[in-house]
Amino acid sequence: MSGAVLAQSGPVIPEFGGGGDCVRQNRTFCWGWFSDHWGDTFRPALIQHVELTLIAVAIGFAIALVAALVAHRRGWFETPFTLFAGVLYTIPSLALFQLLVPITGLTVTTAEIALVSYTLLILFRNILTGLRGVPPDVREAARGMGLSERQILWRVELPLATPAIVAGLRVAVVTVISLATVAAFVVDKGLGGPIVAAIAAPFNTAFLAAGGLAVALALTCDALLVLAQRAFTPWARS
Amino acid sequence: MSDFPRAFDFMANHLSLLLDKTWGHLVLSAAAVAVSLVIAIPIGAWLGHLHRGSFLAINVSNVGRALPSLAVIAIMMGLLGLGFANVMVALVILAVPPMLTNAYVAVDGVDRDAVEAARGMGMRPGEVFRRVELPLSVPLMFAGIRTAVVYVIATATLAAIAGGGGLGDVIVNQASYGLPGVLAAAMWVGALALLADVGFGALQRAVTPRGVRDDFDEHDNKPGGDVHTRPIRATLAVLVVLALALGATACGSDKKGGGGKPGAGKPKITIGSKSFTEEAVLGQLYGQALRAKGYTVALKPNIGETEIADKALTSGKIDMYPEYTGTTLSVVAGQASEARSAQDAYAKAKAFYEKRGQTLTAPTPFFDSDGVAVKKDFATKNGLKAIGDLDKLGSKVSLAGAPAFESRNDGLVGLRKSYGLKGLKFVPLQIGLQYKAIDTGKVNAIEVFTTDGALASGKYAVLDDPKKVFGFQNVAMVVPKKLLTKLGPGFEQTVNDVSSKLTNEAMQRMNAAVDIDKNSPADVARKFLDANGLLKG
Repeated sequence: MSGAVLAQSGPVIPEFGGGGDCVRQNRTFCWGWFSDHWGDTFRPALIQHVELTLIAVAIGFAIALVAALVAHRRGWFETPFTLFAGVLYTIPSLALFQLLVPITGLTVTTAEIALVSYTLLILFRNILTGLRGVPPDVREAARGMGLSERQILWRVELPLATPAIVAGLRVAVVTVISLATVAAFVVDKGLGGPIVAAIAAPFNTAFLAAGGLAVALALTCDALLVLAQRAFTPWARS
Repeated sequence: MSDFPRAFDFMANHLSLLLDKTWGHLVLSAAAVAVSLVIAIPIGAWLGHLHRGSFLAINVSNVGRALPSLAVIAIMMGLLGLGFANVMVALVILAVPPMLTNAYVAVDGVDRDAVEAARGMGMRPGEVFRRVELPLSVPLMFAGIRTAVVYVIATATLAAIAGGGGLGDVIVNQASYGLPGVLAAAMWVGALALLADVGFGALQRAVTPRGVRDDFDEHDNKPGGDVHTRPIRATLAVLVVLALALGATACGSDKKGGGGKPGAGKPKITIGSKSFTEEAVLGQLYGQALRAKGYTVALKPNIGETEIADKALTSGKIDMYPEYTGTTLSVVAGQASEARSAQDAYAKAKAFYEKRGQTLTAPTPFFDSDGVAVKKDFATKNGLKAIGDLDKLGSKVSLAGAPAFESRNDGLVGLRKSYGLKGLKFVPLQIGLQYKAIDTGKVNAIEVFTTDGALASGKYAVLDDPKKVFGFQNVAMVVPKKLLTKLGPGFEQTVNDVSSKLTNEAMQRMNAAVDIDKNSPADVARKFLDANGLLKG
């Protein structure tokens, strides 16, 4: 094989279509383009975004719950874990994603590690605050009824801590949805994808559509969590 | 893995660059915070004083938290264009909500008895506000400011995508600074955010009147409240532990090899492509044509710049990717030697890869070199034909290009050597943003790629380069030799069939279909392959 090859017959260049005045002039929002690309771009991105968020919050919640239970029993654990989670929480997202790349590569794992990191502080503090907010009398009464420590935790403390825990979940979910757009710098997933793809040739419709969907998703999840909390903690209604 | 130690080397060697970017970062952040303060604090405090608008004041922060910072910056860039002021507007939008909500809650929550007592002492409403409510609400108000400051410093990192400057410039420009540079800047900005958080935490304690300190701590512990004040020493200790842990993991993961590839039948292959339009289209073209021939192909677009693509290839994360011959020589091989012709560049690049056990498929006819373009009317008005003609405009020329352009031999260094251009001012920008910069009159000359879709519009004139400063940039697929053998002759034939159709005009039209008409690279590739009979099995 040598360098002198090819181009014996010129290519056929087809009409690629698309465009239109709105797109060519980059007007504020082009509905036509958006509905054309809902199926191949935005719907998959939205679904991926939900997946990224659910996985991050689920893992973050599991870690924070265990840590909070430990701190609830052994008070000294609170400070080191708060410090650890606080440092992670403070590192800018773009930097954290990039710092993980040499270790976990350009993968979903990288994105999830970073996103989980941002949930820890919020969830840990809220779960712990909720557990500590259970009045000692209530705990005493449960003990008096013959409940074991484990039963007290599951039947009394955690249910009573639910409002505080859900408050933490709301903040964590909204934060992760917002930050997950930045994950598109390392892995081509989620609503950040159309934004990052359009940065090189700024395109308002892509920015607004992806940004708007992320905001709508965050507000919807927030509302759903409020409704879920009302359903599960009827006693907390005032 | 040597990236983290090399990141520290980078810090040591490029300290002035980092300090310079840090200064830009701080100026941008400070400006945004100052404007936000002026907007948020009076409104929040006054609403709190009146005990009105709680719905607005509380929900503004909920909605504010839901606003994705990346989207806000991108939208502001789309609406207002590039630059410092526009990025600042985006940062202000993000910083106002936490400040406003905290200011409202702080003043609204001032003990009613204290207010009553002040009224009883004969203070007028204005005095009550100034002398009682404001001082008592300082701690909580300041907590909101601190949240906003840390948030702004973090988000200013993203400002780089819209030409805002700051440390993000380094993070998003792997092409110029390499992975160690990106890591160095990432660590640096992380440390900056932590320092700001700790510093403002200390300041928060300092501004809290002793009498209300306990009260304030209680506020701080509320769910969803602000991050704890932390002693500096403890934070540093955690940082050290983190760094050690990172280092340990990094060393551990180093031993992993490329991973086995499915051998029999039609093996599965992963084709990577770098993060710009032409590469995305190329990835789709090759991928779809190979799929039509029954190959199982996974595409990995947006893998970053040359350095990271090469690393992904050599570590086996991807199996192949399309590369430019001139880039191979200057970036991957690090050779200063100028190739004499397209064939020469191809031969040299291929020889380089063969030494590493890789090889190149046949080159494309299209020839995507760098170039310098100006607006057509600007060229006519000033009689500009070749790059050298810019010299007579002296210091009136400002040229926007990728940051790496400034230090490259096939960039500004070479241009100055060959054409003079002493007075020319260079403006570093992200690839792709330069058209916006010249359209808005921010600069009057730009670095372009000769196949850029935007050039198809006919608004710009690419200046001649008679001394051939810019290298030769034909594209070929880089493939490990062993894999090429395994994939059989059908594979190379398919790749070459696609390459042979990729003329300058074809590439420019496809790039325009993506960049200007906003079709997806996948659609554009499919239509092109179909029209040229390359999708038949």
